[in-house]
Amino acid sequence: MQHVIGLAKKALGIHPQQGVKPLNNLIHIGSHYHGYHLPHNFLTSDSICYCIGAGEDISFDTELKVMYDAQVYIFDPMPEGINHFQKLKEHTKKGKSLTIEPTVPFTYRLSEKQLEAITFVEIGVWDKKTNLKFFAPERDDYASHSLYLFQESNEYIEAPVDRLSNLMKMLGHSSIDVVKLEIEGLSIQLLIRLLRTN
Amino acid sequence: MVEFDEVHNANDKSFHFRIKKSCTKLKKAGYVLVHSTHNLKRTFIREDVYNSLKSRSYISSDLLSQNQYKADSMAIR
Repeated sequence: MQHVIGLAKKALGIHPQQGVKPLNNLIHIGSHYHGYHLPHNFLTSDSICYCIGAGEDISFDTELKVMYDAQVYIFDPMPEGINHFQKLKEHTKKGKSLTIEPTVPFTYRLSEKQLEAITFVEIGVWDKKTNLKFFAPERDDYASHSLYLFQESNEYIEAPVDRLSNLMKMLGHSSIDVVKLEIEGLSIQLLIRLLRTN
Repeated sequence: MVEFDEVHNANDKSFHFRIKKSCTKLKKAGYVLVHSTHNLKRTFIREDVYNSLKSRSYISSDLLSQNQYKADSMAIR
């Protein structure tokens, strides 16, 4: 059955591996579920990495600091992300480890000094500077508020968002080496808006 | 890096085509898709950087050992 589904996806041009070009030196960074593949010989301590969307897993973001000593900036205006970063700070300060994701556990391994060097910005990324409604998750297994999902929900939080170019200006950056876009249900819309406006 | 989490929270069945369309736009903007998981967590690299990286050396075992997971559990292409 999987084989048939795979063939159908290929015929429709929507198979996950279609259009992937080979690059031999990729390495998985971060947790099993929220990690990404990057070329290993790409980042240095001068690299500027914008991780947009934190939630309750910033394993990729923190590993960029651990593995490359990169300059890491995390953007998330939602309480889940802010609280998780704070929780990690408290654990690290006390010398306690913090493990996330029960099915394939990941343990944060950065030092207090490394964590202090990561900048957490409590602003979301959008195509203009404004306040937007982030709707509360209606599913027990879903941790994060969303601009796009759960709009039937009456519960929401208003939070600040801004253009990527404004945030870069605010942080004194003229270019970025890595952008991680992990925003609940909105990656497609934001990607298109970023391409239009930046 | 982009997570297309519509895969997990689809509002309708057209999400595959919306993802395909936005990936096509990224490619037209000069980015190369170099990795995709089956859940469409994807890595795009700017074309000039891709061409430069392509000519560099293979992954070192030292760097693999820096990762928290065992090398054989990672999908290294």
